[in-house]
Amino acid sequence: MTASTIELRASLEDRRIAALAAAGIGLTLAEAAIPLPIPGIKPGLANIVTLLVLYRFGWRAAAWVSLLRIVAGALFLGTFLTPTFVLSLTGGLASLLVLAAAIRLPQAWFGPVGLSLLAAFVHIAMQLAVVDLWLMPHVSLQGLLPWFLTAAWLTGLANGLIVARMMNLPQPECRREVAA
Amino acid sequence: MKTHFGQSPKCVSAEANAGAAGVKRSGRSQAVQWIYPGDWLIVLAGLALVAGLFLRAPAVADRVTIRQSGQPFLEAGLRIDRLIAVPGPLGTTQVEIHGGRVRIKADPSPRQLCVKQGWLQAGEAAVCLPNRVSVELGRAAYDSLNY
Repeated sequence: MTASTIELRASLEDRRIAALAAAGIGLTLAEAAIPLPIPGIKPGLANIVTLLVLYRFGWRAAAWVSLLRIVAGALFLGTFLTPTFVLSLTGGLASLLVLAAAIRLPQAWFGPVGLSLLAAFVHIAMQLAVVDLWLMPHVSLQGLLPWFLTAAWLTGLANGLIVARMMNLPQPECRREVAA
Repeated sequence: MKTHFGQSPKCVSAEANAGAAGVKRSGRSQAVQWIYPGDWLIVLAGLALVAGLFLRAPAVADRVTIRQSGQPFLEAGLRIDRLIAVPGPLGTTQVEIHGGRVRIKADPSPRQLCVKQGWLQAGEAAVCLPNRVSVELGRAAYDSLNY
């Protein structure tokens, strides 16, 4: 008897999530190559993908894409299961939870820029909390707090504007509808 | 070319979405249109938070240096509440770290000047001259252990 083969069927949604996560991983790797003067501050470009997925495909898909990106990105960068990975994971989870709540806000009033800013602030707040409580409990981070939050404000705003811009690009289907 | 984002069942642009809700957004530059009314609140609240933190920030004193006869006796952070006994020629000086502050709690010197000084402000130092103990509240320099 030949051993039975286990066949994993990837649904269309699986493939879509994989492709989107790959886009996020690409951005993660790309921004890891950018030299930044202060450790711990980075643009978080992969969150653009997370937000776009949240708007197009819902929170579940966004959570998949975000968590896959965090794990795979850490594997690529060699930080899997290191403190860096824990910071990335806790920050990502906190952001996802806030986004789950924020996406329910009235959409005419709160757009991608607001959501991006909220996610960025919660992300850095969670990371600082983890550093403060677990990694370096005896070192006061108070002096660094304003700088980290300034960075979160800038990157959250920039990423949100990029998402808003991408959402306003004409969609292929929309164009078809107009033509028909 | 088929894009992933093109598979969305509905293609609601931000402008159409806002238009449906009766929010006028025209005549401004595009980047401003992408920020919705509620977003402005978040943008400004974030800015206020950052500004507030910067204004409150200057009291960055997180390191206590205790000296005995001019020699460094102990360098400590403010995070852990504790009582430090510093021996001197007259007896023991008690330095208390509590709630992120530091003071000299007890001292054998006759005039008790350093004890009366109370909790130290950032950058201040309390000197118990008779017992040759000084406590200085300052900013930590980077060292290889902490950084």
